[in-house]
Parts: sequence; C-alpha cells; structure tokens
Amino acid sequence: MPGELSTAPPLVGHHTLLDLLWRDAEAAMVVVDADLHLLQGNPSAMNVLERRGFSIGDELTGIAGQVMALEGGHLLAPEDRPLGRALRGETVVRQAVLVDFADGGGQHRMVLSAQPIEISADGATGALLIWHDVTDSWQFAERSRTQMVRLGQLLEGASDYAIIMLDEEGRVETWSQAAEQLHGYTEAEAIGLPYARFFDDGDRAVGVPKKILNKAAGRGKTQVEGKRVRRDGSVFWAHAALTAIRDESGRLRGFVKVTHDVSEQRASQRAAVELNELLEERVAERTAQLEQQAADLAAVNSELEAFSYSVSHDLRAPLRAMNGFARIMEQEFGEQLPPEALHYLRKVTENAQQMGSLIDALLSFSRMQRQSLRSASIDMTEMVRECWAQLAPARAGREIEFVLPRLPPGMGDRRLIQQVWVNLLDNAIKYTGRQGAARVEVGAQIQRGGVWTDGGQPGRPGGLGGSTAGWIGDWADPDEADDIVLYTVRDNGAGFDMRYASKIGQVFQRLHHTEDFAGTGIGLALVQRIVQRHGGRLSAIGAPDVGATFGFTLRAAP
Amino acid sequence: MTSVDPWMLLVEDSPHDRELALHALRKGNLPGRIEEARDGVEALDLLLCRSQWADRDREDRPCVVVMDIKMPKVGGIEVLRELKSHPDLSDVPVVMLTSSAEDGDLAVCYALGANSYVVKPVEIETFFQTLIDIGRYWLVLNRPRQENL
Repeated sequence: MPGELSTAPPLVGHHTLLDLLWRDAEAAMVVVDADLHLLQGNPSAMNVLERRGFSIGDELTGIAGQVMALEGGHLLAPEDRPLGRALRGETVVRQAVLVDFADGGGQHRMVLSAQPIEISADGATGALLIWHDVTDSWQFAERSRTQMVRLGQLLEGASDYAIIMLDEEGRVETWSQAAEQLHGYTEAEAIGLPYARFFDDGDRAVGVPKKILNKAAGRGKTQVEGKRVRRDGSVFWAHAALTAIRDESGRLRGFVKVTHDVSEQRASQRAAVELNELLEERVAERTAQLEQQAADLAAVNSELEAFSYSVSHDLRAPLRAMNGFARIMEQEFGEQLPPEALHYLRKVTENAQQMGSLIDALLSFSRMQRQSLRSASIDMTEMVRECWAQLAPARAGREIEFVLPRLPPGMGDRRLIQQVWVNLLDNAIKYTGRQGAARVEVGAQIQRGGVWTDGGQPGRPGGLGGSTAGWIGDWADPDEADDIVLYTVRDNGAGFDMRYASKIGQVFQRLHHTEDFAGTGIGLALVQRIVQRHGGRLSAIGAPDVGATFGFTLRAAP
Repeated sequence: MTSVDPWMLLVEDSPHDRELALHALRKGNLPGRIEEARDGVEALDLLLCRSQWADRDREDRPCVVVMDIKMPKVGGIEVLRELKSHPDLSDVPVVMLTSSAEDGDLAVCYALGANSYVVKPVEIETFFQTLIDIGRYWLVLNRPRQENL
C-alpha cells in the first residue's frame, strides 16, 4: 500500500512534531531495511538495543529468544513476528506478545505494532517497528486485580457481616451475599436504595438514618445498634459500623457499612437482665423473710428467757410451800400421826423434791443455751480430778475404782465442760450403784488427720469399741485442720440397750425407771447441747448389765 | 444507847414463803422481831415511814432487809436501788433472797450495792437453815453503824 506511505517520513532532518514524538516517546521505535539492518532507532529503542550490543547498521536478528502471541498462546517464528510480517507488506497493530530475551530477565509483556515503510527515494522499503514494554504496569494491575478478588472473596466469606458501600448520598453502591441474606434484597434490588430504606417508619420520621450518616461523616466513623427492617418487613436488631470514605482532597466519597445481626445476643442479654432482676427480687423477698424470721426468733428467745425466768420463780414457790409445810407437819406433828400417814407425807415430800430437781435441771439447761462460749485451753486431767472430788457426796458409802490417766488438754468453755464431766461422772457413779466392784475409767484419744491415736498407736476410737455406731446427733464438723480429742468415761454399771441409744441426749428421755435410778432426764441432754455448741459430738456405747461408755469430742488444745 | 429491839424486814410476796421463813427464824431462837412487807411498795412505805407507817420512829432502822426480787408492783431490784440511793438508808444491809440464779440479776444487785445475794435452796431443810444463818449473822453477829455515836 504505497499510497499510505506518503506521510512525512522520519528521515526528514528539520524539527517537526514528528521529530519531537520520535525523540520523546516512551514507546521504542526502529526502522529497518528489507534485510533487517537497523537504520534508525529513537532514544527509547536505542536505550534497549545498545544494552544488548546492537548499534545502527547492525542486523536485528536474535534479539528476542522466544516470542509468544498472547492471543492463541503460540510461539511465533521470526517471519511471523510483526517485523517479519511488515517486511512482507502487512501492517500489525498492537499485537500483545510475551517476549523472552533469554537473558534471565524473565518474560516481558509487550505490545508490538509494525508496518512497511519507504526508506529511500529510490522506493526501497523497510519496516517501522514500535514496541511498548508494559510488563511493570501489567504486573501492577495484575496484583491489584488479585487483591480485589481476594477482598471480594473475603467480604463474601464473612457471611455474618454484611459489608456494603454507600455513596456520599447514602445510596447503596455495592451489595454482597451476606447483605442479601441479612436485608433480603438482591443485588439488583439493593443498588441505589437509600440507607433510610433499612429503618422502620418511626426511626425514619425522626431522621435516625440521616443522623447516623452525618455522625459517620463528621467523626470519620460511628457504631450504632438498633432496629432494622428487612425487605419482607420483618425486624432484626443490628449492630453497624459506618466508616466515611474520603478522597485525597478530603471530599466525602461514600461510606463502608459493616452490619451484623445481634438479635440473638440482644435476646440473651435481655433474658440475663430479666433473670437478674428476678433474682434480685427474690433475694430481696428472701432477705425480708429472713429478717422477719430473725426478728421472730429474737422474740421467741426473749419469750423463752422470760418463760424460764418465771419458771424458776413461780414454779418453785409452790413447791417450796409443799415441801416446807409437809416437813413442818412431819417434824411438829409426826408423833401424832399414824405410820401410814407419815408414809404418804414422805411420798409428797419426795415428789416435791423430784420436781424441784427437774426444774433446776431445766433451768440450767436453758441457761446454758443462752450462755456465750468462752473457749480456752483446759487442763483436763486437773478438771476431771476436781469434778470427781466434787462428787464425793454422790459417792458417799461407795467404793469405786477410779482410773484417771494423764489426759491431753482440750479447747472449751471451762464452766460448761466442767458441767459435762460432772454429768458423765455422776451418771457413771449412779449406774454402777448396784455393782459389786464398781469401776469408772476415764480415757482420751487424739485424732490427727483423720486417724485416732492412743498412746502412739494409730487406730480407731477404741473407747467406742471401734464402731461408728453410737454417735449421737449431727456432726458440727470442727475444722479439718484441727486435731480432735475424744474423751471417754467408761463404767461397768447397768449399761443400756443400744436400740434406745438414739433417745440419749433428748430432754426428759430416760432409759431407766426412776425407781431403779433417780434422775431427771436432763443431764445427758445438757451434755449433748454443750458438746454440740463446742462443735464436738457425743457418743454412747452400751450393753445392759455390762456397762456404758460415753465419749465427747473437742478440739485439741494447740 | 437506845434499847431498840434488833429487827429484820422480810420483803416477800409469797405468803407461804413468809410463813416458812417465820417458822425457820422462830425455830432458830433468834432475838428481836420480824417485820413483813408483801411487796416493794410496802417495803418502801415502811422504811420511809409513809402511809400506814407514818408515825413509825425514823431512827428505828432494821438490822437487815431480806428481800425477794420478783414481786408485784415494785420489784426487789427497784427497792434496792431506792434504798441504796437514800441518804438515811443507804447503809442498811440488804440481802437478796431469790429463786433466780440468773447471772444478770446477780450482777445488777451487786452493782446497786446489795450486801449479799442468796439463792433460795431447793431442799427444804437447807432453806430453813439458810434463813436461820442469815438471821443469826445479821441480827446477832453483825454490828450495824451506830446512829448516835
């Protein structure tokens, strides 16, 4: 097509627009003759060619090792490459190829154009080749594209989070799968919708959507939580974060909105709050009840105190009168009375005495209940010795073998523990009353870390026959870390039937008839309460006509 | 020295207890006489020469007041408080004789200046003997403050 070659050839020597283009173009341009000799090259081209050892006049062969057409992906033989084709008279426009210069520099992505050109006045033709290495910009674009794809995948993958973009007016610009699931609009429906569409009438009426957008625009970002309406009108509770997007000049370009459905969290939060309120209500109710109970209990206690006070006075006064006048009658008029009358008079006196003892016992029992504990280390050997001595009147006329080994000290209230010993020893004295060779034996064992030891020999509480039976009442378990002492009083007296052991320690319960052994039925109940108040436990093992062993535990003195 | 009989004031609301006490004191062959008051009001009237005792000799003071605690109208503790805060009567010995072995009562009585605190023994012979002992001690053995010395 010689006619097309009539435009000003590049060989013209004066400065024209073409000269400037030739000189300053980023594209590389060369002109070769029919034999591929390099006739001319612009600076961009020469920069490349000279680095590869070519200069004007050289034959341009073997520059590129391999050239692959991007379209079709096949290797091009030299004659099929743009330059070859141009020398054959073809025009090649912007053919994209991959060129491997075989210099270890990797593949270059290039865009090639070529066309025949008249190179001299004699009509000789050559070719013009223009190439543009786009490797760098292509790689950059490729990286951006990959990143965009990844980001897109990421956004789609975050199925619980609808990430969309709004334009500066608040209209939906991009949509996502998650957004579709959350809001119910397809992408086609959503694009262009105003942000306000996702709110209910009430929120729209007071301008909530606009306020949110303004806040995001003003502060850069904002987080909101509230009701949102789906396409089908259903409502969910959303948490949304809006970030304003601004261009380099600071102009608002739109918003990125990340929305999350928090309906379930909100429901469980509300449930927790409601539960809390309910609990607080219950606690308040219960507290009021307990306070009422405490007040009732205090009232009952003070009533009890008043009761026992009047018992001590009012019940005993008539008894004293009965006793007194019967005694006076016996003393002053005894000689005038027939023996039978005297016998009955004595019955009156005896009964009055018995009742007096009962009242006394009850009183000391109720006093003990109200008395506060003053715990201290007690020398038990000494205390038992004193108690035994104190009981001399009870032992009058009796010969009793008394065994008292050295006892470990224990923690307790002196006055109360003394009462325990007196009661237990008095019982032993009383119930051995019909025994020929009466024997009362006191003992003790220490429990360390759950193991009973008796004179260094680990074992079970031997004084209780190694049995767990016979413990009375509930354990008020003393601190595990403390050592416990088990004190025992063993006698060879009347004993008792273990079947009735559970009655021991109950007020007014007796296992023997008064005519056999006098008693009030208070003594062991008192002992039981005292021991219990010390956090210890009372035990009783017995067999009829063999004897009884009573034991109680206390914290060992450190 | 005025030859006034030594006497004891027995303040006790129970007529039976008063009768038993009088019996015991009689048996104990004690000198002097025993005046009775049936409650705290009577005791104070008698000691302060009021009401039916208005013309009683003020100088004639008892050797001892033996007094129950729990009585109708005015109780023993109130009488004790009044006696011990009265300028003319504060040094009259007062023996509380009561069924109450309560620690609280004991402490209050001593704090108010009681001279003795005796729990009425349950056993009747001991009760009799206790009254005789009290009478013997305060009427015979104890020397009261002499008014005109």
